[in-house]
Amino acid sequence: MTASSQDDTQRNMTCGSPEHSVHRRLFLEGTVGVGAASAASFSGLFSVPAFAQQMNDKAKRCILLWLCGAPSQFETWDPKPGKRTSGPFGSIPSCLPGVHVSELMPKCSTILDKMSIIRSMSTKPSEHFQGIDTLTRGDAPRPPFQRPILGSVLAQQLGQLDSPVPQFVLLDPCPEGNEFKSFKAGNWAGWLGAEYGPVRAGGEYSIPNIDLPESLSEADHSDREALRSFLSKKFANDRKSAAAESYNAAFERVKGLMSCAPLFDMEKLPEEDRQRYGPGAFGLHTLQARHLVENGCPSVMVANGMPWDCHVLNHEIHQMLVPELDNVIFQLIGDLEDRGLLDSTLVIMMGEFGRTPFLNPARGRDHYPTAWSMALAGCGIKPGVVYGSTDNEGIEVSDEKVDQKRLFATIFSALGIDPHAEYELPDNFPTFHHVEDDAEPIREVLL
Amino acid sequence: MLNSFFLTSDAAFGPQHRTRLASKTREILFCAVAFLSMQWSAPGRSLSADDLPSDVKTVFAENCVRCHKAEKKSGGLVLEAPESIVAGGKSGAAIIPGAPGDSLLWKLVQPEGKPHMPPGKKQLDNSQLATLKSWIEHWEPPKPEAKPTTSLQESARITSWLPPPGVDPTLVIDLYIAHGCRERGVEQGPLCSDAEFIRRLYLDVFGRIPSLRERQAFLNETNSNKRDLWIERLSESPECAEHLAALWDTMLLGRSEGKLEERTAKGWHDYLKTAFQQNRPWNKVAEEVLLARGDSKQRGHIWFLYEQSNKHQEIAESISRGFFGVDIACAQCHDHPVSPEIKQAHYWGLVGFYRRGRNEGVPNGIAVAESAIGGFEDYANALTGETETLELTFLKAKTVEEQRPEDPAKQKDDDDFYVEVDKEARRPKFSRREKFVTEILRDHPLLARAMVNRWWGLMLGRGLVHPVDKMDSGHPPSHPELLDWLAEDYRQSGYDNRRLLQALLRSHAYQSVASGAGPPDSFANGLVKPLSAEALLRSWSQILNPKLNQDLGSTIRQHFPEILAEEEQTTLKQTLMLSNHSRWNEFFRFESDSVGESVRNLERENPEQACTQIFLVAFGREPTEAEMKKVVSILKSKETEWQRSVQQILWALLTSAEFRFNH
Repeated sequence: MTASSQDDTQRNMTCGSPEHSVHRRLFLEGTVGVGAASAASFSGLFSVPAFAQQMNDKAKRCILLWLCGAPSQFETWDPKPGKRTSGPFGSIPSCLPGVHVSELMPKCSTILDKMSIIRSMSTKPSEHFQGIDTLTRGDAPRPPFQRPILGSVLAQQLGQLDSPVPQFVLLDPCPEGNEFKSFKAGNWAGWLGAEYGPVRAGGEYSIPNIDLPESLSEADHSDREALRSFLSKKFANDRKSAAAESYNAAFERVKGLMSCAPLFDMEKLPEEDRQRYGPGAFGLHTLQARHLVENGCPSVMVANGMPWDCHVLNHEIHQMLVPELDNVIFQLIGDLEDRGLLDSTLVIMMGEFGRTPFLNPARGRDHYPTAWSMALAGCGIKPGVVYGSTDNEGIEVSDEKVDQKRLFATIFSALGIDPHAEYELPDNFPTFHHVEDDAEPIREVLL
Repeated sequence: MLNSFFLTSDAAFGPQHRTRLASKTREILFCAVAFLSMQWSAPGRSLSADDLPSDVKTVFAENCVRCHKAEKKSGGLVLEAPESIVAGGKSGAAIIPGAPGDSLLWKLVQPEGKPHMPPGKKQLDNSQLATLKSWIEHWEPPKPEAKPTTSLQESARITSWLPPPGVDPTLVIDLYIAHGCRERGVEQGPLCSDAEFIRRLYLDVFGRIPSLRERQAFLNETNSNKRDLWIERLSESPECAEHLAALWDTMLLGRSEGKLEERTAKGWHDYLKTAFQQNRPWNKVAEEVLLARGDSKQRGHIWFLYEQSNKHQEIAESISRGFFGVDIACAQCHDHPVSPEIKQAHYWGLVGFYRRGRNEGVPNGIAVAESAIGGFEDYANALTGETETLELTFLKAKTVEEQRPEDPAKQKDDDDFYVEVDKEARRPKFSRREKFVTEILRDHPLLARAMVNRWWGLMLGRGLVHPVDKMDSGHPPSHPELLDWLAEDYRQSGYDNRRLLQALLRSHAYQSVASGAGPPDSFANGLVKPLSAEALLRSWSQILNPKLNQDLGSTIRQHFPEILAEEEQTTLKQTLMLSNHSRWNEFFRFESDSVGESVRNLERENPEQACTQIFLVAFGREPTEAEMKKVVSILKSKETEWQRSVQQILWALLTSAEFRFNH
């Protein structure tokens, strides 16, 4: 490989080993300048024949920017300048006539015509754990049945199980985060099974133990792993154990992941990109998310502990966090558009609820599920729509309430997934659908 | 209904179990059955401590109970439990069942309510109103003669129907589990084989797999009662105490690599080991640990408080979790949102009991001294911003009275406040810590319940209340009567851990085949249990090399930190480590002299025999035909590289699910 093509692959790698490091677009266009052997091994890697074709046909993907802890709608998408509930920040006009956003979001104000804002979110749970659970799974819990979280459903619906690229990645640098921590310990993939759970990375921007030790050849490892897998599958079948299945699924993942190790190496991303998104972990992980979807990962969730929970000093903290969010969204949407990926990549920006119109004595805003905002952009979303509204002070939704079911129906529809389709489940399960109660998607924000 | 349960439950044991019961035991069983069925026809009791529908409970919890709780009783009304709601408040009945329009509560939550509830601008939204309305319309309040319950689980305990003392708890366990299976319409599985049993027992009681010799000794035994014999022998052995000490060390103090050596050096580990070896009553152990005093060199029990070096909130959280089975961390900023019986006052009350403690070095070693003054700091409710006064109370409607100085901040310390103790840290005449132990901890129902539940969880794979540190109204037990009975039996037996452990190990539920059929909380069949880091280390060491513990102990503990996780989820971090960690892989290399004798000296001339041997060593069973074929083909195909093949096979076995889980 020439020096220049190596540079190219640094930026556009698809997957692990050097022979796979081809520029995908060139490859798909049939103009890639590498030998036949490499090309053969590339197509061998993506072993589903339709895979490459589908990638070309704008396979759908989704990036969820999970703003855990719940940001304030007043300091982001639904400012109330001059009202009692407003807080110290003003609002600025956006590129959409008559639509204002918080002055903390100058960059997003210029690209609102590429996004849809929902200002009439209204949900029930007012505590984090319940809120996170409901807004990542799309429905209230119904024990003992565990609904999969959005990323897992998308991995199943949009992904290729035998793709070497992980089908659902969770990037989260922060191991703590109170309720989010307990949520993270939970069962993500639910009834879909552990193989649809996320590959988790973050923080160190690389994954420990991802390379074989020098003493071991790839062939040797693959032999012993085949035997391990054979023995373990028999065990999991005999014992019908979800725990054992989860164990086996995690080993299955190791195989694919090892071949994609460089995908997770932040150091390999261009410095210029890192500058634009950084320096915070949230920005860098969003950049990594872009990199992952570019390389065939259909579903990435970017979380960041739960910094948004501003019970104390709401304004000061939002003054720090919102400009970062503003920039990160701006960069992500711009990059996706430049790469021709925005039409096929849905970007969701939300937390588990909003924050109260009034300040508490610690000058914080508390949890407020009654009326809050979120944003969508990209795949299947009609650009430049502001849907729903709240009253003058943002206390109640005045127009077009949206609960988690309608939101999820909208998300699924945007990605071309039937929101009312039934899950295929064992006989002793009740009937479950992607979204229950025939909840209607919001047609107004859909293309 | 109950009579029919007893008529039919015997049949559910299956033939194997029946032969296992000595005839005398069976006599007692039938006496117990007769006794139980007689007593059980007593008036019904509310199994659940809290009969309000959860959505109503949520509306109340979020909007009302800040004032209408037992501690505050605004307007005399408490909206926490059906009984207190029936009782009404100063203005009379709050709810007229079936008639929202006539119910005072309903009128006051309307926008035009006077006085409007909740006070201030906040108006319940339409769906909250709808919830309340439909509840009032359909609510059947408890009959007034029903015994009032508080919402903590312990209130469900009644003693009138306990079987007489001396009944083997195993029989009671078997009865209730069989009954529960019938109620759930689940078939109970058969008992596991002897080979399965002995591996399971060693892993649970010693924290390691049995050696080939130990396994064979059990299989060769002809005594028909041999499972009971081995249960007794193993559970009384020092190796069992050692294993339990390691478990409880982790469950009480958590994993903290940096502290492990100190925990041993300061006697904590030995203290726990002795407590289990001598089978000391658990309530006494709890009292010693939580009082943390000592006049001699025996100071291991002080380490529990000492390690948490004056971090009083951490201390409170660990006491609640470890000894009461309740996670109170959620109540630091406000009353628990989902389990309203856990108050913020309890959180700060428990902190208050320990807030005057301070680590000190004394001539005899470590001590936690206690001051006689201070520790009156108020706490703030994060939801309301209101300031609350600290009271010495915890998970029980009891408050320890303490004389409060007029201005706590200005109170001067005085020698008169202290008892004189030679060479010992200062001890106040009024000791909050001592009050906690004598007035809150002693006989607290959760002390027994939490311990019973923890033992159950460890041996059976999940708690009767699961997870085991969430014994609150949000987590009802799967078998409430059984938990009640076992907790009471445990208390009456003098908090006898060994009696309980042996009873659990003898139960049908423990000895069932781990087939995974049926809902896990029915215990109809054995559950697959992940090995703790300690058990993995000890089992791997036994096959590979004892050095493993020293070299990789810390790595393995960090990768496999959980004990009794709510739900076992394997992480990629774990499987990547088992695949690629370089030091770990070294242990499989013959060149590095790591692989143990039992595998090193396999019969090279006879691959079939080698395969059988390696399966017996690792899995405690012989290979199936398919497994034999596969493994032998590997051994034969690489005849020239015998060692490499054996290494690969060994790695595959020791990282397989069958090794990772106890079953």
